[in-house]
Amino acid sequence: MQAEDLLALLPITLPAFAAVVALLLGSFVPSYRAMAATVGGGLAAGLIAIVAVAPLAPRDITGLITLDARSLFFWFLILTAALLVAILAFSYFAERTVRGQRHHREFYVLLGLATAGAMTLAAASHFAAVFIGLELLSLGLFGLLAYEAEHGRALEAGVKYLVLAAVSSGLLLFGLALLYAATGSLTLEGLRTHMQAPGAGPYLLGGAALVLVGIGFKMSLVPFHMWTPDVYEGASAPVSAYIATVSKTAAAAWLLRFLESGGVWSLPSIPLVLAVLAALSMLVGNLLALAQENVKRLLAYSSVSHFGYLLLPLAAGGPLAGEAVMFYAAAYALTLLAAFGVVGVISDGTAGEEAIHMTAYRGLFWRRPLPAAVLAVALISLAGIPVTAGFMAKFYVFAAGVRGALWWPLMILVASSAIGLYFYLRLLAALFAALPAAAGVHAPRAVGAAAGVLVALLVAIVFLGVLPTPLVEAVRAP
Amino acid sequence: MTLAVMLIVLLLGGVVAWWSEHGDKRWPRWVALLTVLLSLLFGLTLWASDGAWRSELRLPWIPRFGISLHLGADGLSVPLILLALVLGATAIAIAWPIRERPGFFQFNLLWSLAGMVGVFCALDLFLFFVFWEVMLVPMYFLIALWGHEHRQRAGTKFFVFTQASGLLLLTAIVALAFVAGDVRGQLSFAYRDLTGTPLGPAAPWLAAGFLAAFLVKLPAVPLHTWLPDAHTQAPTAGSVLLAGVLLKTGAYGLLRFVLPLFPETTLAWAPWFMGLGALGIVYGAVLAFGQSDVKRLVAYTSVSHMGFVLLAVFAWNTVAWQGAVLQMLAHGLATGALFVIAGALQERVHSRELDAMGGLIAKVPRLAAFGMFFAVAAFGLPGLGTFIGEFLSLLGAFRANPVITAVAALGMVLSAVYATALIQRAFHGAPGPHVVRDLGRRETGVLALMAIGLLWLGLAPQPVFDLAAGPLQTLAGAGG
Repeated sequence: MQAEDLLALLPITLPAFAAVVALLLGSFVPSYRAMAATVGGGLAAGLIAIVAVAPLAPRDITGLITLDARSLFFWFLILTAALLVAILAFSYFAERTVRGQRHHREFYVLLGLATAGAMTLAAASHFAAVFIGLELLSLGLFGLLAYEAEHGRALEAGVKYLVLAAVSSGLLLFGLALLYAATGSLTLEGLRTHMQAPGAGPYLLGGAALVLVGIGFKMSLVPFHMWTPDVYEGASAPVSAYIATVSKTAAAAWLLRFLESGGVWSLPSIPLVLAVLAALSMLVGNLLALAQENVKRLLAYSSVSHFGYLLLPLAAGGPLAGEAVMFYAAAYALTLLAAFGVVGVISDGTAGEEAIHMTAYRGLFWRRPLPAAVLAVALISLAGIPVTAGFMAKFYVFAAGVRGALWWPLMILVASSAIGLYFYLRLLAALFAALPAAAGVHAPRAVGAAAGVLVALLVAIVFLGVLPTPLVEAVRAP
Repeated sequence: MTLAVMLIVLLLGGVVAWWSEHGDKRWPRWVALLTVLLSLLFGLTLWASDGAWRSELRLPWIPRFGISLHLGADGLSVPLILLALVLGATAIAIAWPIRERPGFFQFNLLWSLAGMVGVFCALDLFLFFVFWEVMLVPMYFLIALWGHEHRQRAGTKFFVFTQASGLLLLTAIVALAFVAGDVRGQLSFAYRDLTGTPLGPAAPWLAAGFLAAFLVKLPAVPLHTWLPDAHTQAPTAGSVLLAGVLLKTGAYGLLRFVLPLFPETTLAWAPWFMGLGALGIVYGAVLAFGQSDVKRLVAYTSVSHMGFVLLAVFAWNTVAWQGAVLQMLAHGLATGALFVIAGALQERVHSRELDAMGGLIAKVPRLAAFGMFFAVAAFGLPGLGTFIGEFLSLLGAFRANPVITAVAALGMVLSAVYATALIQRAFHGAPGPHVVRDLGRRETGVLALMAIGLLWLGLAPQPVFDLAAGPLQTLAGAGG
């Protein structure tokens, strides 16, 4: 390991280091602000480090991690999302008490560690790194999900995730072991060289399938999506935002790497399996969202369907697939952060319960224009309607799907988008509907920092919808 | 440049109108009206200017996919842009008294209008699709927020229908660009790069995607079921824009994109779609006669009238196409005016049911007179624009397919039946208990201007023919 390797790892190590520092600091300075600032600073430093290490790419770091344009892109995305979640969480907890006190210090430690895990996963080129990254991410998430443990739902979410994540990790690990048995190598590079030899043995196919199951759980693809609505509902809004963006993005990033760098695309029937998973996720996610009155569950099912859309380019393969996945992940992350950010902001309050029911959103625009406008744009983006990032993302999916001639999944995409419109429009119209007569619901004003984040997300979503070229060039295959 | 300025004026005007609500509830409508009149002024300069493509503008947008911001208006676009703006001004005038969230209302109206103008002048298929969708969201809000009792359901139905077919259009656009890109060696979404590219066996599939979107919007039977709900539930201003302009975007799409991009396919399929047009004419007219809700009645007449356009478009000759263009303009004015009258009736009688009306002629002579005028316009009285449109459509279609045209001609008889029934049931018969006031100055002025427009199109349609002649000749050349 050379000094340059250490330098190249800075975007991961800085947030992790900040988390450790915050942990130590917490023993001496019991200040919530200090810990939040330390971890937030670590995440921001990681973002700056990305710029610094960019010239080092492409580079193989200790055989475990690959630093290439794609890693940098996903690192940037994960760190940005984590930083925004940290700011949203700061405002969210500022008005709330957990376990009777206002010290939410461990929250940021867990956030920093989980983020380091997600980044490791996104750039992993060795199965060991995959597992380390995945477990670090999952362990952080258990704590984050059950953080407000005095709410029964949060505890339920944490335990549910713990059990299912353990099972899926086991399956993933077994899959990796089978791949090792078939190829004798633990790296994606080794897997790829083996793939080029004719004839895929049962170990190879079975291993790849089990890995897909493990990753499918993280990406909450149908039929591995059962946990999603309960967990999103039970966790506090910033944590839901985190699991919907950072965790899923990291999994998608590695899936892309697995299929492309690992050469798994060339296995027979894998593209078909991906197409079926994509079609099921789109359709089932949108259908189940139809009946939801709970906004967080609605967003959970919507995120299931969105990862179906994202999977479609992966099923199509080809040079456009990577671009489409990267663009989609970025657009989706911005949009879901905005949506959950609004849920968090309008829930701020001493009541303890979050504003999750549809009725809390009726006429929101006339009470609190800023969060309502942000949510409206986020919903339009989720529905994939132009002048938002979501539309450009969907365009990419169409382009990749058409290029790969995946006609039947595309037709399912069209049908499920139409179904999805129904519930997006319902919420959208509710936002602008006339205020109910008894509109005396206590709703505090957006806390400064969170409002800033929401405005930034709004601008970013619209900007990428109107002038997508900067991001288009960023995701373009080097 | 004019087109770009026009779009920017409309979009900015929308924002200013919304914002001005904070000053005074009456400001948004003035801002909106001035915005539309200013755009109309730009539109008139377009008409006055020469050249095949007026005010063309091309800027790179997403070079990765060969997408550019490409605007331009030819003799086919200019009349439709003017129609959109005239009806936009009408809609604002009709919605003048609106008190509930007026800023947001005018914002939606102007943005929807901007989308429609954009649709009529986009020369890049990706940009076209963007405008296609931009006009929908504000229109959805107009229906779902300011509509009548079942507004939410009608708005959603409208949106889901158009969006689902729109995504088929997007699939077809992307596939077309890739297919043509493989032939030409360079990916491009530009209209001019795509027309004339040989598409091989993919052409029928691509054409089907385009047709799905445009036939839903037109609407052609059996894809019309969103229309009666949306038109009935929308506020009057929304109905005017829906019937007057939105339906025309479907017809425009057929003439601008489907025929020139897929000439062989559409020629081969022409009898089927002419048949669909004739079916729509008769079916719409029969159903219109059966309605008791005055707005639903007018909505079904739209199905019938747009059937003439479909018939004419697929007749593949310039006479029919001239008829289609005139029919679009005349139908826009006539149906827009009928919706204004239906709205005025609903406002006065507090019901849209024809049974609740009757005998109104004694109480509201001016409203009844205008009702009579636009009802006879709907069945195509000679001297009015609708007559010229339907006559030329049938004349051109007869050359292409006499049998289908003979069936379609029945529609002119049936339209007389429903139009007289409308007049009879609403204005004549035993007077009801209502105490109603006649049209005010604002409504009278609006309707009078629309009546003059129809007379002008009926008595001196030559300027429109001259305008559209160039593009239609080019189109006829594409079909060989």
